[in-house]
Amino acid sequence: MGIRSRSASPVPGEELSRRALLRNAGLAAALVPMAGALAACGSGGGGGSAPASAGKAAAMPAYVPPNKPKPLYEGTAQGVMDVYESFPMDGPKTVTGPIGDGSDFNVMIMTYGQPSPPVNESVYWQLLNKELNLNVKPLQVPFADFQTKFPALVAGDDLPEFVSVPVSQNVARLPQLAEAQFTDLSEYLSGDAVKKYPNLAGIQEAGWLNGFLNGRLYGVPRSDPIFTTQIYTKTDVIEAAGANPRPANLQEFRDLAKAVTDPKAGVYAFGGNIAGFVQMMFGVPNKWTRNSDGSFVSAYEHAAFVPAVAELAALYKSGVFHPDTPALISNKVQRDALFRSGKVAMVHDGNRAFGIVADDNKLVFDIMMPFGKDGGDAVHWTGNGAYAITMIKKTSDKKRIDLFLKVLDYISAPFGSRESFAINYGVEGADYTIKDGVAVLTTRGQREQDLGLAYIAGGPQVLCNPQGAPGVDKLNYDWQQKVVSTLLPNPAEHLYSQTFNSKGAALQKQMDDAIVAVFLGREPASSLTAAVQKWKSGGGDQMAREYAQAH
Amino acid sequence: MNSTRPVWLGRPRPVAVALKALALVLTCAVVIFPFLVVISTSLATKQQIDANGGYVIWPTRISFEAYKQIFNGTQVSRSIVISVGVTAVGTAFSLLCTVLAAYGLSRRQSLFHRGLLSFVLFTLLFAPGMIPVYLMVKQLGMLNTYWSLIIPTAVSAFNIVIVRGFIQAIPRELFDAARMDGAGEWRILRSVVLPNSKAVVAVVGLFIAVGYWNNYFGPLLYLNDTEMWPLQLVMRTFVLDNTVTSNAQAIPGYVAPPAQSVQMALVAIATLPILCVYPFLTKHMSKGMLTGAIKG
Repeated sequence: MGIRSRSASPVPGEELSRRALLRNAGLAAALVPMAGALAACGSGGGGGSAPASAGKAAAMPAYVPPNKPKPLYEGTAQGVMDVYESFPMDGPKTVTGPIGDGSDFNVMIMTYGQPSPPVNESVYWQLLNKELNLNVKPLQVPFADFQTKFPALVAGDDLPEFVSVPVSQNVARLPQLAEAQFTDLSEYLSGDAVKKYPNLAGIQEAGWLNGFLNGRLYGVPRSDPIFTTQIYTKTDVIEAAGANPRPANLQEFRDLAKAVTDPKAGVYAFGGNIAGFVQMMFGVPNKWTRNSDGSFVSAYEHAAFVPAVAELAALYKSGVFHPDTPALISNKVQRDALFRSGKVAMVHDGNRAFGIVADDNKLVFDIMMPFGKDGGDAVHWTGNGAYAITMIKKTSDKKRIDLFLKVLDYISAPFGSRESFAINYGVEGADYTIKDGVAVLTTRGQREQDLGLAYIAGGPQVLCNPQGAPGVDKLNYDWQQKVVSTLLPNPAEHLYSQTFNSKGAALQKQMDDAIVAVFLGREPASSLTAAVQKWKSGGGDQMAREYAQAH
Repeated sequence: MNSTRPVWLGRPRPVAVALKALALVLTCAVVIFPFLVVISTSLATKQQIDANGGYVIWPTRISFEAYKQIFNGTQVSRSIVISVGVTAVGTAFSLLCTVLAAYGLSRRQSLFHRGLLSFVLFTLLFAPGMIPVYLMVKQLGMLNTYWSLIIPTAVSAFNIVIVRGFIQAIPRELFDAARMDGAGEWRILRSVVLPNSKAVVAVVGLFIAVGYWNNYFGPLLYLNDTEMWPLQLVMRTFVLDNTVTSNAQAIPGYVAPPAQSVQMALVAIATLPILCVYPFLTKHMSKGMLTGAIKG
């Protein structure tokens, strides 16, 4: 067994002093509550004072539509995604001039896949090094383990020069951390300044909002669709049962569920938690409501919340859910398998449910249009608009900041551009082959993609699933067109609450558990009143006050 | 007389034998069934997995696609070598430390005996937190080295207590006889203690080896270079986040692997080495467990 020597400090010239060590250990101790172990300490000492607001003190970067190939169906500024039949092979070049200077580019990247092959074995990585004129050195952190690894890196002052942070993970004390350790990019990106980096100027406001911390712009976003979840329907199963696949109200929804359920044949209407869908059907707000007097009220206190969960429990009790539902709630792979095999007729999943829409061209399905419980429109909760933000450690070196932004500008090149093709497909022959005029990743290309560099920054995503069922993207596009008018944002989405930051995950889990307990019939719906009271006294009320103050 | 014979000496009735056999078969089935499902699912086709709703008990058509996916240009082959190396070196090092410490602490007349014993027992009660250990590993210059997977967990107070108890149960007369023959402490350890402690060393060795083999947390914290990742951490990236298996899934032209069979194939690969070692240690296991249970 070979023993490797100690690696050099990721940021040249920064050695670990005792003071720095203690300071970072203190900050890390405040970050550990992300893992839940020290949740109670989070609101206490360490990490500096809470900022009053993370609003838009710096101006929003200007938006300039990106230079992209014409899509099959054009998206909208509200968030409807462009549709492409396949990846355009003759897209425009969007980046001109040199990018890097041959230096190391140490970057922390979230990865969903397995570790990338090393650079000497990956032609994809070598291609990106060449394109960027840099020596990309990723510190790959599995998404599921981010909350364990990140505090340790902060404690040891081991964060690399560039850091990509997933937005959904609610990194504890991120504003304080940004202020202490990362560069304020406002002067480089706010207003018209962003136009120096045309592809960054193509990022929409929904994405940028995530990059603001303490009112200043610290991060460049990797945009995500603003749509959250929907119900996919297995039309062949529904038609075989002679049911109506497009219910228009709650009663028709119940009738559909009952009609498709056939326990003898092992077919059930649902196989997972559809709490979000039912709540949207009942008109429950998206986490918070802001009253005209500026106060914030939680969705848990909305009149429709308890009836919505009670309806969910009634559906479960009526036997239309698969018997394995308690396990299926957290097992997407099995849920998808049951859906594909027709054992589950409807599945609740994200807007780009990969196991359903991306890779099975024989799968026949539809997407259920949302509806209000008494007919009419439902609401659709809006997502946060970004998957991650990427920051640069504190530096006054303008050349280094410019290099960082140029790299992100390259990575943010719009779908269909030459840069985007290189990032997505790599090297012809090794990483992809052309089949019927369409680029198809090879197994090697798939593995080399696990480098993950493509996911640290970017503008609007698109719908393009040539391997999926015919018409799947048009189906999604039509659904988005219909739903976009009912989008309901969370008014607290980009506001800072110290209580949410330190206790939000634990409080959220507490409420999710209470909802699941009612859903599965373990507790009566009336138990939710006590659960909401506990949530409020445990921090919910404090969050409401902090959001009102931050607005 | 028959009436005075204890019940366990009597000839069992056929019904009782049948019931016992049934109980044994059921117990074995409960143990074997998960392994069967893991191996069968890993060898099944995507169509059969879908048709069965996620898991397969017996594959109708054998497909090695999942195993090909795993070994085709991935980290798995390299990570297996790393895991075997870390487990072998780590187990040897840990056993050495454990036996030496246990022997020393079993000698009541040894220097600072009580103080050292209390110090060891103290670590049983109060484990250090994640961040302090990380900082210690960093300060010792072990970040991004394989030593970081071995040194922080090399010595377990629990294992020392077990081995110490075993050594103390060896008759004092053996030690006295060895001393009278002129043996020193090292010679006693080698010629008296170790030959009489094979069972406990085998048991503790297996515990330690399984611990090293299954360790993903240390590598996650201390190894930034993914080329150095052991199997368990690589496997975790396949299995844990079962919503997606690759970053490439967002790219047009990506053909998803049969995620469930790949996950099960990895579980099979990770379980195999321990399953292979286990039969050779079973006889020591039972003896070691029994001895540990009845001797203080």
